Amino acid sequence: MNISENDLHELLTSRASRASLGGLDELLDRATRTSRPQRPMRQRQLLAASVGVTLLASIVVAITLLTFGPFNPAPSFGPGLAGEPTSSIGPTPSPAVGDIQPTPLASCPVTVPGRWFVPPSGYPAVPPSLYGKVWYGSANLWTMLSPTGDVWSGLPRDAAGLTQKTLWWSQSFDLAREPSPAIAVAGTRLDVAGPTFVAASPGTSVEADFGTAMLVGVLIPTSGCWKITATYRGDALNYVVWVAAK
Amino acid sequence: MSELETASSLDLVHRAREHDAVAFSALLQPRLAGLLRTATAVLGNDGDARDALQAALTNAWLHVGALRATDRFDAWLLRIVVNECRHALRRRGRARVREISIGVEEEPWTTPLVSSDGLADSVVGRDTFDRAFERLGADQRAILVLRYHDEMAIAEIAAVLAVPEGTVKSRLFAARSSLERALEKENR
Repeated sequence: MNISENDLHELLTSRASRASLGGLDELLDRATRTSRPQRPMRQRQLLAASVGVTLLASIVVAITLLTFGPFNPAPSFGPGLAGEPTSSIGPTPSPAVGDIQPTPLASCPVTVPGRWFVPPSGYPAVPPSLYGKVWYGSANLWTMLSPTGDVWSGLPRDAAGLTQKTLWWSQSFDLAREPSPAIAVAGTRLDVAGPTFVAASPGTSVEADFGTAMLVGVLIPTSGCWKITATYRGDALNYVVWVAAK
Repeated sequence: MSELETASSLDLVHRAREHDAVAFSALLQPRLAGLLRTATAVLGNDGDARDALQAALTNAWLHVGALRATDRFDAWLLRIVVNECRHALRRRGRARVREISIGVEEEPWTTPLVSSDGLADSVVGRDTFDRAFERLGADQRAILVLRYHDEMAIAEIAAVLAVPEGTVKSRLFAARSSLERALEKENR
Protein backbone atom coordinates (compact mmCIF):
# COMPACT_ATOMS: atom_id res chain seq x y z
CA MET A 1 0.00 0.00 0.00
CA ASN A 2 1.49 3.29 -1.06
CA ILE A 3 1.08 6.50 0.80
CA SER A 4 1.52 10.00 -0.56
CA GLU A 5 3.90 12.55 0.92
CA ASN A 6 0.96 14.84 1.61
CA ASP A 7 -0.90 12.14 3.50
CA LEU A 8 2.24 11.27 5.41
CA HIS A 9 2.66 14.89 6.43
CA GLU A 10 -0.97 15.17 7.46
CA LEU A 11 -0.99 11.90 9.41
CA LEU A 12 2.22 12.71 11.27
CA THR A 13 0.95 16.20 12.03
CA SER A 14 -2.17 14.58 13.45
CA ARG A 15 0.01 12.42 15.73
CA ALA A 16 2.07 15.44 16.75
CA SER A 17 -1.08 17.40 17.61
CA ARG A 18 -1.56 15.17 20.64
CA ALA A 19 1.14 17.26 22.28
CA SER A 20 -0.19 19.43 25.04
CA LEU A 21 1.87 22.59 24.95
CA GLY A 22 1.20 23.83 28.49
CA GLY A 23 3.82 23.74 31.23
CA LEU A 24 6.83 23.58 28.96
CA ASP A 25 8.69 26.20 30.99
CA GLU A 26 8.49 23.83 33.92
CA LEU A 27 10.45 21.21 31.95
CA LEU A 28 13.09 23.79 31.23
CA ASP A 29 13.22 24.87 34.84
CA ARG A 30 13.67 21.29 36.01
CA ALA A 31 16.46 20.76 33.50
CA THR A 32 18.48 23.80 34.53
CA ARG A 33 18.09 22.92 38.19
CA THR A 34 20.03 19.72 37.55
CA SER A 35 23.61 20.12 38.68
CA ARG A 36 26.24 19.90 36.05
CA PRO A 37 29.00 17.42 36.76
CA GLN A 38 32.24 19.00 37.86
CA ARG A 39 34.78 19.43 35.12
CA PRO A 40 37.50 16.78 35.38
CA MET A 41 40.47 17.98 37.37
CA ARG A 42 44.01 17.22 36.43
CA GLN A 43 45.96 14.74 38.54
CA ARG A 44 48.01 17.42 40.24
CA GLN A 45 44.96 19.51 41.07
CA LEU A 46 43.28 16.42 42.50
CA LEU A 47 46.29 15.67 44.70
CA ALA A 48 46.46 19.26 45.93
CA ALA A 49 42.73 19.28 46.64
CA SER A 50 42.83 16.01 48.56
CA VAL A 51 45.81 17.17 50.66
CA GLY A 52 43.99 20.41 51.41
CA VAL A 53 40.78 18.64 52.43
CA THR A 54 42.68 16.19 54.63
CA LEU A 55 44.54 19.01 56.40
CA LEU A 56 41.35 20.99 56.91
CA ALA A 57 39.50 17.95 58.23
CA SER A 58 42.34 17.19 60.67
CA ILE A 59 42.28 20.74 62.01
CA VAL A 60 38.48 20.68 62.45
CA VAL A 61 38.60 17.30 64.25
CA ALA A 62 41.42 18.49 66.55
CA ILE A 63 39.58 21.68 67.47
CA THR A 64 36.34 19.77 68.07
CA LEU A 65 38.02 17.23 70.32
CA LEU A 66 39.83 19.94 72.30
CA THR A 67 36.65 21.93 72.75
CA PHE A 68 33.99 19.28 73.35
CA GLY A 69 35.87 16.07 74.02
CA PRO A 70 35.02 12.77 72.26
CA PHE A 71 31.64 12.78 70.51
CA ASN A 72 29.05 10.21 69.59
CA PRO A 73 28.24 9.81 65.95
CA ALA A 74 25.00 11.59 65.01
CA PRO A 75 22.68 10.27 62.35
CA SER A 76 23.95 11.22 58.93
CA PHE A 77 21.67 12.46 56.18
CA GLY A 78 22.21 12.34 52.46
CA PRO A 79 23.79 9.79 50.23
CA GLY A 80 25.84 7.34 52.26
CA LEU A 81 29.26 6.12 51.19
CA ALA A 82 30.66 2.64 51.31
CA GLY A 83 31.73 1.86 54.84
CA GLU A 84 29.75 4.75 56.34
CA PRO A 85 27.99 3.74 59.55
CA THR A 86 24.37 2.88 58.81
CA SER A 87 21.42 1.78 60.85
CA SER A 88 21.80 -1.62 62.42
CA ILE A 89 20.20 -4.32 60.35
CA GLY A 90 18.64 -6.89 62.57
CA PRO A 91 15.34 -7.71 64.20
CA THR A 92 14.31 -5.10 66.75
CA PRO A 93 11.17 -5.16 68.81
CA SER A 94 8.91 -2.33 67.63
CA PRO A 95 6.05 -0.66 69.40
CA ALA A 96 2.66 -0.99 67.80
CA VAL A 97 1.01 1.76 65.79
CA GLY A 98 -0.27 4.54 68.00
CA ASP A 99 2.17 3.91 70.86
CA ILE A 100 4.06 7.09 70.04
CA GLN A 101 2.47 10.38 69.15
CA PRO A 102 3.74 11.81 65.83
CA THR A 103 5.64 15.08 66.15
CA PRO A 104 5.01 18.05 63.85
CA LEU A 105 6.45 17.86 60.36
CA ALA A 106 8.58 20.97 60.94
CA SER A 107 10.70 19.13 63.50
CA CYS A 108 11.66 16.43 60.99
CA PRO A 109 14.78 17.04 58.87
CA VAL A 110 13.19 15.59 55.72
CA THR A 111 15.80 15.10 53.00
CA VAL A 112 15.46 17.68 50.26
CA PRO A 113 17.67 16.69 47.32
CA GLY A 114 19.92 19.71 46.85
CA ARG A 115 21.81 18.26 43.92
CA TRP A 116 19.86 16.08 41.56
CA PHE A 117 21.69 12.96 40.55
CA VAL A 118 21.94 11.98 36.89
CA PRO A 119 22.12 8.18 36.58
CA PRO A 120 24.37 6.24 34.20
CA SER A 121 23.25 5.72 30.60
CA GLY A 122 20.40 3.29 30.16
CA TYR A 123 18.26 5.07 32.74
CA PRO A 124 16.19 8.21 32.19
CA ALA A 125 18.21 11.34 33.09
CA VAL A 126 15.27 12.37 35.25
CA PRO A 127 12.44 10.16 36.47
CA PRO A 128 9.33 10.09 34.24
CA SER A 129 7.31 13.20 35.05
CA LEU A 130 4.25 11.35 36.28
CA TYR A 131 6.13 10.49 39.48
CA GLY A 132 6.99 14.13 40.21
CA LYS A 133 10.32 13.05 41.68
CA VAL A 134 14.05 13.48 41.13
CA TRP A 135 16.92 11.06 41.36
CA TYR A 136 18.93 11.06 44.58
CA GLY A 137 22.09 9.16 45.46
CA SER A 138 25.03 7.95 43.42
CA ALA A 139 25.64 5.45 40.62
CA ASN A 140 26.20 2.70 43.18
CA LEU A 141 22.83 3.21 44.81
CA TRP A 142 20.11 5.74 44.10
CA THR A 143 16.41 6.29 44.63
CA MET A 144 13.60 8.70 43.72
CA LEU A 145 12.63 11.51 46.07
CA SER A 146 10.28 14.41 45.87
CA PRO A 147 12.27 17.59 45.08
CA THR A 148 10.70 19.14 48.19
CA GLY A 149 11.21 16.09 50.41
CA ASP A 150 9.17 12.92 50.76
CA VAL A 151 6.01 12.81 52.84
CA TRP A 152 4.36 9.41 52.89
CA SER A 153 0.66 9.63 53.57
CA GLY A 154 -2.27 7.36 53.08
CA LEU A 155 -0.17 4.22 53.48
CA PRO A 156 -2.03 0.94 53.82
CA ARG A 157 -2.25 -0.03 57.48
CA ASP A 158 -2.39 -3.45 59.10
CA ALA A 159 -2.14 -4.63 62.70
CA ALA A 160 1.65 -4.34 62.76
CA GLY A 161 2.01 -0.94 61.10
CA LEU A 162 2.03 0.93 57.81
CA THR A 163 3.22 -0.72 54.62
CA GLN A 164 5.19 0.95 51.88
CA LYS A 165 7.16 -0.11 48.81
CA THR A 166 10.62 1.39 48.37
CA LEU A 167 12.48 1.48 45.05
CA TRP A 168 16.24 1.51 44.61
CA TRP A 169 18.53 1.50 41.60
CA SER A 170 22.18 0.56 41.20
CA GLN A 171 24.53 0.29 38.27
CA SER A 172 25.70 -2.98 39.83
CA PHE A 173 22.24 -4.50 39.76
CA ASP A 174 21.63 -6.93 36.93
CA LEU A 175 18.19 -8.51 36.99
CA ALA A 176 19.26 -11.49 34.87
CA ARG A 177 22.02 -12.42 37.27
CA GLU A 178 20.30 -11.41 40.48
CA PRO A 179 16.54 -11.92 40.33
CA SER A 180 16.38 -11.54 44.12
CA PRO A 181 18.77 -8.68 44.84
CA ALA A 182 20.74 -8.72 48.08
CA ILE A 183 19.41 -5.39 49.24
CA ALA A 184 18.26 -4.62 52.76
CA VAL A 185 16.30 -1.63 53.96
CA ALA A 186 16.14 -0.46 57.54
CA GLY A 187 14.38 2.39 59.26
CA THR A 188 15.11 4.34 62.43
CA ARG A 189 12.71 6.80 63.92
CA LEU A 190 14.47 10.09 64.59
CA ASP A 191 11.96 12.12 66.57
CA VAL A 192 11.68 9.65 69.41
CA ALA A 193 14.06 6.97 70.63
CA GLY A 194 13.32 3.37 70.08
CA PRO A 195 11.33 2.32 67.05
CA THR A 196 13.13 0.70 64.19
CA PHE A 197 12.21 -1.67 61.41
CA VAL A 198 14.14 -3.83 59.02
CA ALA A 199 13.38 -5.47 55.73
CA ALA A 200 16.15 -7.98 55.31
CA SER A 201 17.34 -9.06 51.88
CA PRO A 202 16.58 -10.37 49.39
CA GLY A 203 14.34 -7.85 47.72
CA THR A 204 12.52 -8.27 44.49
CA SER A 205 12.56 -6.21 41.32
CA VAL A 206 10.35 -4.22 39.00
CA GLU A 207 10.78 -3.09 35.40
CA ALA A 208 8.97 0.02 34.28
CA ASP A 209 9.44 3.32 32.49
CA PHE A 210 12.05 4.26 35.10
CA GLY A 211 14.30 1.32 34.27
CA THR A 212 14.90 -1.81 36.30
CA ALA A 213 14.64 -1.16 40.02
CA MET A 214 15.06 -3.17 43.18
CA LEU A 215 11.84 -3.27 45.14
CA VAL A 216 11.72 -3.69 48.89
CA GLY A 217 8.50 -3.68 50.88
CA VAL A 218 8.77 -2.26 54.38
CA LEU A 219 6.51 -2.37 57.42
CA ILE A 220 6.74 0.88 59.36
CA PRO A 221 5.55 0.41 62.93
CA THR A 222 4.51 4.01 63.61
CA SER A 223 3.98 7.29 61.87
CA GLY A 224 6.63 9.97 62.48
CA CYS A 225 10.03 11.06 61.25
CA TRP A 226 12.00 8.18 59.79
CA LYS A 227 15.49 7.73 58.45
CA ILE A 228 15.39 5.06 55.74
CA THR A 229 18.66 3.32 54.90
CA ALA A 230 19.29 0.85 52.11
CA THR A 231 22.44 -1.22 51.86
CA TYR A 232 23.48 -3.01 48.71
CA ARG A 233 26.84 -4.52 47.82
CA GLY A 234 28.69 -2.51 50.46
CA ASP A 235 27.07 0.81 49.64
CA ALA A 236 24.53 2.59 51.76
CA LEU A 237 22.07 5.33 50.94
CA ASN A 238 19.80 7.03 53.41
CA TYR A 239 17.20 9.73 53.49
CA VAL A 240 14.71 11.14 55.96
CA VAL A 241 10.99 10.98 55.30
CA TRP A 242 7.91 12.10 57.17
CA VAL A 243 5.42 9.25 57.56
CA ALA A 244 1.95 10.65 58.16
CA ALA A 245 -0.51 8.81 60.38
CA LYS A 246 -3.20 8.86 57.66
CA MET B 1 14.03 45.61 24.80
CA SER B 2 16.10 43.42 27.13
CA GLU B 3 19.62 42.28 26.45
CA LEU B 4 18.39 38.72 26.02
CA GLU B 5 15.85 39.72 23.41
CA THR B 6 18.51 41.33 21.29
CA ALA B 7 21.08 38.58 21.74
CA SER B 8 21.47 36.29 18.73
CA SER B 9 21.07 32.56 19.03
CA LEU B 10 24.79 32.17 18.63
CA ASP B 11 25.45 34.58 21.51
CA LEU B 12 23.04 32.61 23.66
CA VAL B 13 24.71 29.32 22.74
CA HIS B 14 28.07 30.77 23.78
CA ARG B 15 26.63 31.98 27.05
CA ALA B 16 24.85 28.68 27.69
CA ARG B 17 28.17 26.92 27.22
CA GLU B 18 29.48 29.01 30.09
CA HIS B 19 26.78 27.62 32.41
CA ASP B 20 24.45 30.60 31.99
CA ALA B 21 21.04 29.12 32.83
CA VAL B 22 19.16 32.27 31.80
CA ALA B 23 20.75 32.23 28.35
CA PHE B 24 20.08 28.49 28.04
CA SER B 25 16.41 29.04 28.88
CA ALA B 26 16.12 31.96 26.47
CA LEU B 27 17.67 29.82 23.77
CA LEU B 28 15.40 26.84 24.39
CA GLN B 29 12.07 28.50 25.07
CA PRO B 30 11.11 29.25 21.45
CA ARG B 31 12.11 25.74 20.45
CA LEU B 32 10.22 23.75 23.08
CA ALA B 33 6.84 23.47 21.36
CA GLY B 34 8.41 22.25 18.12
CA LEU B 35 10.56 19.72 19.93
CA LEU B 36 7.58 18.41 21.88
CA ARG B 37 5.56 18.01 18.68
CA THR B 38 8.43 16.10 17.07
CA ALA B 39 8.76 13.81 20.08
CA THR B 40 4.98 13.28 20.17
CA ALA B 41 4.92 12.38 16.49
CA VAL B 42 7.64 9.78 17.12
CA LEU B 43 6.24 8.36 20.35
CA GLY B 44 2.51 8.80 19.76
CA ASN B 45 1.50 10.30 23.09
CA ASP B 46 2.08 13.44 25.08
CA GLY B 47 3.19 11.76 28.32
CA ASP B 48 6.05 9.79 26.81
CA ALA B 49 7.02 12.76 24.65
CA ARG B 50 7.20 15.05 27.69
CA ASP B 51 9.39 12.59 29.53
CA ALA B 52 11.68 12.28 26.52
CA LEU B 53 11.84 16.05 26.16
CA GLN B 54 12.54 16.47 29.86
CA ALA B 55 15.42 14.01 29.65
CA ALA B 56 16.68 15.68 26.48
CA LEU B 57 16.62 19.14 28.05
CA THR B 58 18.45 17.85 31.09
CA ASN B 59 21.09 16.20 28.94
CA ALA B 60 21.42 19.30 26.79
CA TRP B 61 21.93 21.45 29.89
CA LEU B 62 24.48 19.00 31.29
CA HIS B 63 26.46 18.76 28.08
CA VAL B 64 26.07 22.07 26.28
CA GLY B 65 29.43 23.11 27.71
CA ALA B 66 31.07 20.47 25.53
CA LEU B 67 29.33 21.60 22.33
CA ARG B 68 32.01 22.68 19.86
CA ALA B 69 30.07 23.37 16.66
CA THR B 70 28.02 26.15 18.17
CA ASP B 71 26.49 26.98 14.78
CA ARG B 72 24.92 23.52 14.75
CA PHE B 73 23.12 23.87 18.03
CA ASP B 74 19.70 23.00 16.57
CA ALA B 75 20.92 19.80 14.95
CA TRP B 76 22.70 18.86 18.16
CA LEU B 77 19.60 19.51 20.25
CA LEU B 78 17.31 17.60 17.92
CA ARG B 79 19.73 14.68 17.96
CA ILE B 80 19.43 14.54 21.74
CA VAL B 81 15.63 14.58 21.51
CA VAL B 82 15.67 11.77 18.93
CA ASN B 83 18.01 9.75 21.14
CA GLU B 84 15.71 10.19 24.10
CA CYS B 85 12.76 9.06 21.98
CA ARG B 86 14.79 6.00 21.07
CA HIS B 87 15.47 5.28 24.74
CA ALA B 88 11.80 5.79 25.57
CA LEU B 89 10.72 3.25 22.98
CA ARG B 90 13.32 0.81 24.22
CA ARG B 91 12.01 1.19 27.75
CA ARG B 92 8.41 0.86 26.60
CA GLY B 93 9.21 -2.70 25.63
CA ARG B 94 11.05 -4.29 22.81
CA ALA B 95 8.21 -6.70 22.25
CA ARG B 96 5.96 -3.92 21.07
CA VAL B 97 8.47 -2.59 18.54
CA ARG B 98 8.94 -4.71 15.50
CA GLU B 99 11.43 -3.76 12.83
CA ILE B 100 10.37 -4.81 9.36
CA SER B 101 13.42 -5.59 7.30
CA ILE B 102 13.42 -4.63 3.66
CA GLY B 103 15.98 -4.53 0.88
CA VAL B 104 17.23 -1.16 -0.27
CA GLU B 105 17.16 -0.40 -3.98
CA GLU B 106 19.59 1.81 -5.84
CA GLU B 107 18.79 5.52 -5.52
CA PRO B 108 15.43 4.65 -4.08
CA TRP B 109 14.71 8.12 -2.73
CA THR B 110 13.88 9.27 -6.22
CA THR B 111 10.91 6.90 -6.36
CA PRO B 112 7.76 9.03 -6.17
CA LEU B 113 5.19 8.07 -3.62
CA VAL B 114 1.96 6.99 -5.25
CA SER B 115 -1.15 8.48 -3.75
CA SER B 116 -2.86 6.33 -1.17
CA ASP B 117 -6.56 5.84 -0.89
CA GLY B 118 -7.30 8.82 1.35
CA LEU B 119 -5.76 7.42 4.52
CA ALA B 120 -5.59 10.83 6.14
CA ASP B 121 -9.22 11.64 5.39
CA SER B 122 -10.91 9.34 7.88
CA VAL B 123 -10.66 8.42 11.53
CA VAL B 124 -10.30 4.77 10.58
CA GLY B 125 -7.52 5.65 8.18
CA ARG B 126 -5.65 7.64 10.82
CA ASP B 127 -6.06 4.78 13.29
CA THR B 128 -4.74 2.30 10.75
CA PHE B 129 -1.79 4.58 10.09
CA ASP B 130 -1.13 4.89 13.81
CA ARG B 131 -1.04 1.15 14.33
CA ALA B 132 1.18 0.70 11.33
CA PHE B 133 3.52 3.45 12.50
CA GLU B 134 3.74 1.82 15.93
CA ARG B 135 5.16 -1.25 14.21
CA LEU B 136 8.23 0.68 13.16
CA GLY B 137 11.42 0.93 15.17
CA ALA B 138 12.63 4.17 16.69
CA ASP B 139 15.08 5.03 13.93
CA GLN B 140 12.52 4.59 11.19
CA ARG B 141 9.92 6.60 13.03
CA ALA B 142 12.42 9.39 13.65
CA ILE B 143 13.58 9.70 10.08
CA LEU B 144 10.01 9.78 8.77
CA VAL B 145 9.05 12.43 11.29
CA LEU B 146 12.07 14.59 10.52
CA ARG B 147 11.39 14.40 6.82
CA TYR B 148 7.61 14.49 6.54
CA HIS B 149 6.55 16.24 9.72
CA ASP B 150 9.42 18.64 10.37
CA GLU B 151 9.92 18.92 6.58
CA MET B 152 13.69 18.91 6.89
CA ALA B 153 16.02 18.66 3.92
CA ILE B 154 18.15 15.55 3.48
CA ALA B 155 21.27 17.52 4.45
CA GLU B 156 19.61 18.77 7.62
CA ILE B 157 18.54 15.26 8.62
CA ALA B 158 22.06 14.06 7.95
CA ALA B 159 23.34 16.69 10.39
CA VAL B 160 20.83 15.67 13.04
CA LEU B 161 21.51 11.96 12.76
CA ALA B 162 25.25 12.47 12.17
CA VAL B 163 25.26 10.21 9.11
CA PRO B 164 26.08 10.85 5.41
CA GLU B 165 23.31 12.14 3.16
CA GLY B 166 23.32 8.92 1.16
CA THR B 167 22.60 6.98 4.34
CA VAL B 168 19.68 9.28 5.08
CA LYS B 169 18.26 8.64 1.63
CA SER B 170 18.49 4.88 1.89
CA ARG B 171 17.15 4.85 5.45
CA LEU B 172 14.30 7.07 4.40
CA PHE B 173 13.35 4.75 1.61
CA ALA B 174 13.59 1.72 3.88
CA ALA B 175 11.43 3.45 6.47
CA ARG B 176 8.81 4.38 3.91
CA SER B 177 8.76 0.86 2.54
CA SER B 178 8.46 -0.59 6.04
CA LEU B 179 5.58 1.72 6.76
CA GLU B 180 3.80 0.72 3.58
CA ARG B 181 4.27 -2.95 4.38
CA ALA B 182 3.00 -2.33 7.89
CA LEU B 183 -0.05 -0.59 6.44
CA GLU B 184 -0.71 -3.61 4.24
CA LYS B 185 -0.56 -5.84 7.32
CA GLU B 186 -2.93 -3.61 9.21
CA ASN B 187 -5.37 -3.63 6.31
CA ARG B 188 -5.51 -7.41 6.07
